[in-house]
Amino acid sequence: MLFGRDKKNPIKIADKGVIEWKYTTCGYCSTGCSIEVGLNDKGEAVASRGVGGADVNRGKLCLKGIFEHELFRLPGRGKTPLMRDKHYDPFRKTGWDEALDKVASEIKRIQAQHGRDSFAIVSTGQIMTEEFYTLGKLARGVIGTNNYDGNTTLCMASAVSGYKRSFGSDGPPGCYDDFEHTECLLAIGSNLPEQHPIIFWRLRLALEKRKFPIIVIDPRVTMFAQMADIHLPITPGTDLVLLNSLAHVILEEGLEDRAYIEAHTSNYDEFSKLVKQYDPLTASRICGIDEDTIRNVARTYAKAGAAMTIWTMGINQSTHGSDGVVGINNLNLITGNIGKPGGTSLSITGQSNAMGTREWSSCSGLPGYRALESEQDRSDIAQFWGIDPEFFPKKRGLFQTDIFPAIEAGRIKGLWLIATNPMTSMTNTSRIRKILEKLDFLVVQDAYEDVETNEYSHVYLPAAVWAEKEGCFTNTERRVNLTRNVIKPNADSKSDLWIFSQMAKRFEQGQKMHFPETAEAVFEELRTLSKGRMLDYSGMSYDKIEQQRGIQWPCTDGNETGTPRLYSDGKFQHADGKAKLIPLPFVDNNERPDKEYPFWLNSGRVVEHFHTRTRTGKVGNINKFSPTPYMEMNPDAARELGIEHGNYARLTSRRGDAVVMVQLTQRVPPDMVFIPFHYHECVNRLALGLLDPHSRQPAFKQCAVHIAPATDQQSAAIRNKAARAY
Amino acid sequence: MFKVRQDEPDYAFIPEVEVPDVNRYGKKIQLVDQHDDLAGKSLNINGDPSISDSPNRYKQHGFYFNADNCISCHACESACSEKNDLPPHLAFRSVGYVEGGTYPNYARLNISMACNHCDDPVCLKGCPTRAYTKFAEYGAVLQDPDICFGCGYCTWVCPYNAPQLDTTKGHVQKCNMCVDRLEVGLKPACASACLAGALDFGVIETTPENRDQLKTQIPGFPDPEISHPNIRFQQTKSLPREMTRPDNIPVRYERDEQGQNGFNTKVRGNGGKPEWNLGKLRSREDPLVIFTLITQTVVGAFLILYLGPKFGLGELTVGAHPVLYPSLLLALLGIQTFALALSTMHLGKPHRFYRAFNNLRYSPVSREIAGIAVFYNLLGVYTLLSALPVLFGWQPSSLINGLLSIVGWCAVIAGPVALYFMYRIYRIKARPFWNHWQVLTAFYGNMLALGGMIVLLVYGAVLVSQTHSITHLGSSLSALIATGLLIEMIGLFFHARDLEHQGGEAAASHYRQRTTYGKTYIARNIGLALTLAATLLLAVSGLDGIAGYTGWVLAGMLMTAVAVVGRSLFYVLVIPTTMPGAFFWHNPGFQEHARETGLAEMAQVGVVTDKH
Amino acid sequence: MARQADKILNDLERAVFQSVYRSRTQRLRRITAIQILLLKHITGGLLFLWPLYVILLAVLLTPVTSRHLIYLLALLPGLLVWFYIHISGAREDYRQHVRNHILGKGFIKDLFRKS
Repeated sequence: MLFGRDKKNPIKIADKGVIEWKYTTCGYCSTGCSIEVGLNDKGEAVASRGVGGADVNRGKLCLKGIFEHELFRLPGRGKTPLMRDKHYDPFRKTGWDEALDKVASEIKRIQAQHGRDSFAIVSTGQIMTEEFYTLGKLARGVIGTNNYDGNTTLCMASAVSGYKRSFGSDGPPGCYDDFEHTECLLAIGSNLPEQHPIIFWRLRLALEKRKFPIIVIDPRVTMFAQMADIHLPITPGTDLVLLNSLAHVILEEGLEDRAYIEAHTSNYDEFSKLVKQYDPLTASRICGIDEDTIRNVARTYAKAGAAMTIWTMGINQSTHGSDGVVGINNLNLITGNIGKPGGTSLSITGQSNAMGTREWSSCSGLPGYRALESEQDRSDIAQFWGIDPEFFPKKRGLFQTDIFPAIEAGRIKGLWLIATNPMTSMTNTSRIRKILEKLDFLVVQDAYEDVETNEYSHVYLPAAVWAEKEGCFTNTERRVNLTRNVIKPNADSKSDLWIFSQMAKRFEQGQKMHFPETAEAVFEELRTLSKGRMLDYSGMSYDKIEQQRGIQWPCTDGNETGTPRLYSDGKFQHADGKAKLIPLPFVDNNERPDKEYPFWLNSGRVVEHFHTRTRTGKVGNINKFSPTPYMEMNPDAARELGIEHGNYARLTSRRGDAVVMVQLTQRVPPDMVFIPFHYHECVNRLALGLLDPHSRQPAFKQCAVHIAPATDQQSAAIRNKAARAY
Repeated sequence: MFKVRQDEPDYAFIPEVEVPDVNRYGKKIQLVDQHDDLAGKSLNINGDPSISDSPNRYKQHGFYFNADNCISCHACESACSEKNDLPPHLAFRSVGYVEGGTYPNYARLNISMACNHCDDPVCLKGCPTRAYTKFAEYGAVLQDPDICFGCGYCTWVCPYNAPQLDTTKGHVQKCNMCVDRLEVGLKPACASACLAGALDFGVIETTPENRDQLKTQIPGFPDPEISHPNIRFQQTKSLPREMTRPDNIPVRYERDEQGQNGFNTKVRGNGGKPEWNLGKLRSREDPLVIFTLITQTVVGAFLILYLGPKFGLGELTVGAHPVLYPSLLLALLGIQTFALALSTMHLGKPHRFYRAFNNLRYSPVSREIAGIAVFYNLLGVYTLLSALPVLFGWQPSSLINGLLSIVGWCAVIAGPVALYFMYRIYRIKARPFWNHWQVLTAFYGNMLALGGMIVLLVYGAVLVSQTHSITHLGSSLSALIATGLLIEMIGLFFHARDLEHQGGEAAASHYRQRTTYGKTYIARNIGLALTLAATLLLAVSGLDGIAGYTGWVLAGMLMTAVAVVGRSLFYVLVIPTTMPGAFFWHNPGFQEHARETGLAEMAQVGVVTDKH
Repeated sequence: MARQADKILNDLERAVFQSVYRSRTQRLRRITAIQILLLKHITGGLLFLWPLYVILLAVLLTPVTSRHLIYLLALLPGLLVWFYIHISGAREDYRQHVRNHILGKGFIKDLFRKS
């Protein structure tokens, strides 16, 4: 029997009236999903969907991508340039000419008074490759400051540094297709299901066809740890010891790929001498993983026909992040797991175009993986840009994380921030406030005028966001993918490309150089500059990229499909063509819990938010899953302190304090708490952020805190709400 | 028709598989024959007259959820909200979880849940407006917001929290099974969006690819016997002995060591101390507190007014008080009108109130409203006849008297019948705290006690002012009042006892009754006993005049306060057997916090500010 | 019940629709429709609500004193509430079936049947 009305109204199902779909690449993380944005008859972006034929995401999207069309109409978007004399004055609206003139004249004034390097530029991993390249051209070729870096120092610097040290060049050697071939997957400090749901889905697809062991190393029982075959709940900050010990077991038991080591690696003897010290028993005392398990994991990994390692911030954001990456590379080199299907060291990248900035922004050198330290590279680029090679410095300048202390010390007077929000993203944010306050001149260029850092700016430049412009992103597996222009920039905001080339015109040297107007014309310069290099773009064009839903470099002229893996021929970028096995002694310099500050503080991502929430914090259907910060705390530890589920607690560290809502869960051990890093005025008020000696990446995830219940719950709630503008 | 794109991946299509004849409940999966009248009709989606030739169009479809695989990535919920263009505070599909174990041996079980398009849709039966239809096409249970008047009863009866009351728009909306996608052979948006091989869709009782199990239960899921939901689970990984919820519902799930993987719902927490929390007694259902109490009072008062004289209460005849009698009737009519207005305004769309009678066949709400409407009209006629003799003076008095007695007797029957239907409303399996005969004793008890008290106080005032004795009236009515109070107390006693025995959400409600509202609960019980004692004392003592009357007034005030608090508790204490929420989303504790602290003022927090 | 404005996509059709919609006949039909809807909802409401008016009548039929004025005042909110409910009902029907619709000949019958 069926019930109901005989005379039914028509069934109403929401129809957004999409009449046209436009091709883009997701602007959130570095998975590199192809998205089609649907436009209605009024030209408004009303829907998003994954591109069915795209190899990366095969029609799927994570929740952020599903609502990506809402980005264009979020509140807080910048409408016109804003200016003021002091950061405590109110902003006044102004036009582009006045704003750009002001910025140019301030840069010239500061550089004239304090030297060329006294004006710093910190960019991002969010804008298009063509824009990065143009910014590099402006910073290196026109403004000529050597204190120019990207916020990728907070996420991928350790991977870059580790790849360079092991293989002689940056560039992740693997791809997602490796899941289909691997026989063992080791994930270190990567919570794939929450951080990169689409890559996780690719892994799930592979697992449904063919079962292989998943080993997850993470101090927290993440979703990934739960579904792992083996979970190693490691003591924070000790991955290097574990990696050395795995190598120890492999060498001790003769499980290494001797032929590969001899043919393709150097420095084996010194390496093996060091790992000898890290026998499983010694290691177990430090990293908290028992010796039998270490042996079991080492054997499983080494005996697999092909084994791969993926990692994310658990490795990178550490005082030995670069060493951790090298340790992973060592492991894969001695087992012969580089450049073959299913065998790789694959860093899972964070920002949509973190790879693009690494390749083309000139932050750490010159475009196309060129180095300032190389005379050949300097003269090649100088010639291409039409400037004097002597204008380039001969060594790279400060990293982002050293630029802020340089401001603190008074060596840097002016700063240009592009699509980055250090007021929330940097460790010890109270210190960052003081530093920003000190600046003579701060320019904030961002799509959102309510970005917290704008509190201290003198000029605000409203930028277009994502598909309001056109250009390419490179994803984690080196796939260059295209974003077509979907709608025009909001109000009077402008593409970053336009802003950079307009700025160049305001400098004498810039007027002499050629700054192409369109992204596609810039892309032509990239093709030329990349020809014959490792990251060869010369076989790509916009139409070809769109047609193939992204192409993996190297793609030489005439190559139709790109290249899925690097180093398949066993030839590396070091001068001797070999990969280097590097001995990695472990020094524990972390701030460890003690009597006064008895808890480890760990931070990380949640699936619904992206970075500092300037976007996801305003999309209701995403933000609602965690609209306010929270802390995961072990119920046994909480009981002793009288802290209750859903109440507020106050945390103090040697840097400052934070108030946060408590979620009691056995996901975390009794001596550790976890707070997502996305929220303003929260976990990063507490974090220490010691810097990695190689990559200068801060150790966000390891420091010590003291915890007490908030004595006045109501004022704690008020304080929490006051920090939430979105 | 929904447009299928050229590069639509295979996983998005509903597979062609062999289908059994009947489901596990013995119901035919083929819902209607190809030649049936109901077959071959257009679904008329957004006015589109086309008809799909999908081969399984008339078979019951359902969701498949693999709890082993779900990672709580929210892709299903988001794909649903995106497709249906929902505001943040609504969701047709939600992911909640339960968790357990001890670090690092910790397990979290995520559950993604939308409408289960049940074989026996309790929402459809409960809806007074007949806004729901179970379609022969795919067995989809669809709701039409243009018919709905926003009473929210479907949100009470549904055990899965599928119907979503949008208080900002004043109507309910729910999962539509993406029938537009089904018509072209595609799975619903949620199932197509799943990133973990957890959510799937197809004809019910068929095993999807990469699945082994088709269970009807997992921890946290309500008893499938309530409505025979069309969802099948897989859950093969071992779980900890005890699982808890991240929301503030005091419930936990304990593995039944004897049973096979079965989990029992138990109360969580035992350390709670009794508190007052009087402020939290206010809720969205405040108008219902007043409506139910007034209706019960009016029915009781009329019964006494009409039947009293027939049982020797001469004071209550028209003859004895020719002005007071009709005035009291008019007053009863007045407050009943007020109560009706209040309950109507409580609807999301008050102007659609006349749709309340659309579903007399199934809905207790329809029957209750019809019952009360009948009583109200009879009361009106009776009042008209007896209060306005001017209008009918020219008719023979025998006719008037005959009419009066017919109408009176009808009203005497209609009133208690209406209250019985009112009680039936609360016999909801998904709301164990209400699903008890105590509700009936409370309603009838209040009818006698409050009805008796109001007559006593009104007549008492006049008698005292005319220096007549009130002892006869008092002692006669006190018997009724005391009976009313006594049956309510007996009901409450057994209610509390049975709640504890029953376990699960029932016991959890009682746990809250003894902790969060513990002091209020005890005060109400003491108040009830005190009222009874005062009633008996006043009746036995024979206290008369101003002193006696003052005593009755005080007793009446106490009784009213006790009734209001008691009824408010009744509404705020109920804990539905719905799915667990998450720490923020669908956590009533966080929603309350967001409203109190003003976080809810930001629309993107996903909590509606206004409770009403 | 005839054509609806929001289902038209092209400009020419929209212009034709507008001219018909604004014609005298249509305007008269809309005015009639408003009256019918109001009548329908108020009479419909009366069926449920007449006892309220009984009270009103009772107050009016007795000699006016100040006390009766108070009764009247007390009744006023109730009357307003119900009046509001009827108006909203009529307004919803108007929005659904009249506004942006070209009303055909049988529109009166349709109004009773459909809404």
